[in-house]
Amino acid sequence: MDAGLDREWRRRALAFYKDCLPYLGDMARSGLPLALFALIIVGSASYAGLLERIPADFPAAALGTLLLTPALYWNPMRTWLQPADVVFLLPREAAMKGYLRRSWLHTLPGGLVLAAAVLLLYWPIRARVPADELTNWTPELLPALAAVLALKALAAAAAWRERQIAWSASRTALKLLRLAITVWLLYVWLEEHALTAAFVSAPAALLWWAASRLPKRIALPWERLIEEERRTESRYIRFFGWFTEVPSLQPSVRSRPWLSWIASRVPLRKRSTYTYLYSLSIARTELGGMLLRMTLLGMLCCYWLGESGWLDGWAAAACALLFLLIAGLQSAALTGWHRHVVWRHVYPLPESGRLRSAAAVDRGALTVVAALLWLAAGVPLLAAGLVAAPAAAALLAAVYVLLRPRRLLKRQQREDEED
Amino acid sequence: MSEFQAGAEVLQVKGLTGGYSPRRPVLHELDFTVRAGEMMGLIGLNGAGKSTTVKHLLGLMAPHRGEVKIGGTTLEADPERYRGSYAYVPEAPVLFEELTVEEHLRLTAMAYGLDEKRYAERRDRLLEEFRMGPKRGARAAHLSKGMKQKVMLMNALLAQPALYIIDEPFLGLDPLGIRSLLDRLTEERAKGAAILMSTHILSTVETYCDRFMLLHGGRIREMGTMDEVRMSRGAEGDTLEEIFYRVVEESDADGRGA
Repeated sequence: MDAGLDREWRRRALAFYKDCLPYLGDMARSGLPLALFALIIVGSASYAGLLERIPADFPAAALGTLLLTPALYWNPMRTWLQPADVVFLLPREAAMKGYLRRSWLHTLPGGLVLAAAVLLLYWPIRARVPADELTNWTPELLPALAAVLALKALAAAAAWRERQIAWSASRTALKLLRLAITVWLLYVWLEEHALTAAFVSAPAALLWWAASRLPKRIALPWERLIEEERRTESRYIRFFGWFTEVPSLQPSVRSRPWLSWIASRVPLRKRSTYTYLYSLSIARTELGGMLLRMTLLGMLCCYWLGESGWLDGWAAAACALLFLLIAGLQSAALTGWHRHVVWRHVYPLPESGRLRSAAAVDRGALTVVAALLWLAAGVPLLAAGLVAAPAAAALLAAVYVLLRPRRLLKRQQREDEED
Repeated sequence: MSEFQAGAEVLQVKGLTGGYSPRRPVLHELDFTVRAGEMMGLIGLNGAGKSTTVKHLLGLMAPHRGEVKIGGTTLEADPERYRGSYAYVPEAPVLFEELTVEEHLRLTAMAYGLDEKRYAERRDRLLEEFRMGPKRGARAAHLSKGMKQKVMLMNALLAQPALYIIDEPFLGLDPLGIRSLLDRLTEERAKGAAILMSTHILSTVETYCDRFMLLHGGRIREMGTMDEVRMSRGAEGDTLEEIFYRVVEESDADGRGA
């Protein structure tokens, strides 16, 4: 391997982790370790309780597939590549093999550990369910573990090949094929005899490999790797942003036509200018994606808790409010956006209008989030005849959403004055 | 359409001294006007003070001394009227990554208070003129640098303000884009718009601008029509380029240069 490139890889990796260190300190001080510790204690206690109640006909293989698929499918890669590299490293592309191998090997162990951890955590559930009625076979841990690790390594290699595909339609198709194959193989390995599973795995892997040979590939997809690196880095910074002040980032943008059409409903008039801008911003940037994921996850949790009627429905109500609060923390970032663009000074519009619009868009988004969370929690509770908890949740959520804009505006004005 | 009579002073700059620090002014006592129906070229070497001048006009920097009026008002007196009287095209395109070409136009229409009918007419015309019709739904992140610059120009032209402040408009534009821009600026001027255009392309200034102003070391070294400047510099038949070099050299020689 080119010694200079090797040194550069190590320098960049070290610089990244060095940059992360102060944030880790802030995270530790934020009480996160304590919260995690509490979560582990409570989690393991309720997990043990859950195991006792698993029925004999529980679809354990399906649950295992659901849990393991993300761990196997998701294969990030840190290359530390930057936009300037297309000028300075591109001429050395021929020597980049070692550099990229280092990147690949850097991320793979973490992925293997994660996949193994998910399998080991899940395995008690699988072991509880007796032998399959049809096959009369209970899979054993060691072959399953070996298979999961092998599949993970193959998936990481496949993900690299996908990055090389030149056309985005082919890349998406190949990713979908890999997802389908991963789901199928996991299910087979958790349900069938190891020999049977090995027998179907080989042709499935070959099928994917043959399909991946069809579209045109780029030996080193510079632009894709640079973009991926930018996204990964911004994900880290956003994560640290939950605990401390972080540098502002270029938002990563997605089209989301099914969401951004809402902005086209904003009437064409002067006082709605910033409402239009912020509606598009929230719909297309990562903030919208995050709110969406948070809402879906929250709805799922609320529904489960609502269905179980735990603590007379108060658990579901608390869950809905908790997710609403987290969504509120996230979307508060909106008022700080577009603070430093030149157009703020050029447009013939009063500055107060910008903040008011940001707060209005924030309130609109949170109203939708609150309504969806409440529906997921409230409908099963009301159906079970529990009224007090959903009513209280609705009242508290409404108070939060209604009072929030004033607090947001005050905070932003204070920050602006400090600037 | 400009609300100003031809010849009315849309931009008035009086005794403008400014810069980032009051102890080190970059601009010294600038006095100039741009009238309705007039195109004024702003030329000078890198670091001459062109961008700082533009920033003062936009109200992004506060003058140490002097006054800037656009549309008859200062920024402090009536910010909305002041800002509604000009459109600005920066040197490097500044677009919202999450908005498409058409959404940028709609945003500008909202900011400048256009109604739906006028917006639709001007949008369609601009998309056609700048050959951006096929790109109307493309997000800014997916546009080439030249296309981004076109979007900036289209936004300025959509607003049809009394004054255009345009900083290096030709960077990254293809030949057809340059032609479209110059044709449109000429047309806007004929309709009564005032235009202040900062550029390094001297031949364009010579051909298209009614007057020009040569900045060097933060001071106005020459200002007027080509004929007036030729008269004052005493060289008939000289091109703007020749005059430019002479003025810069003379300013440096007498110790007043950048």
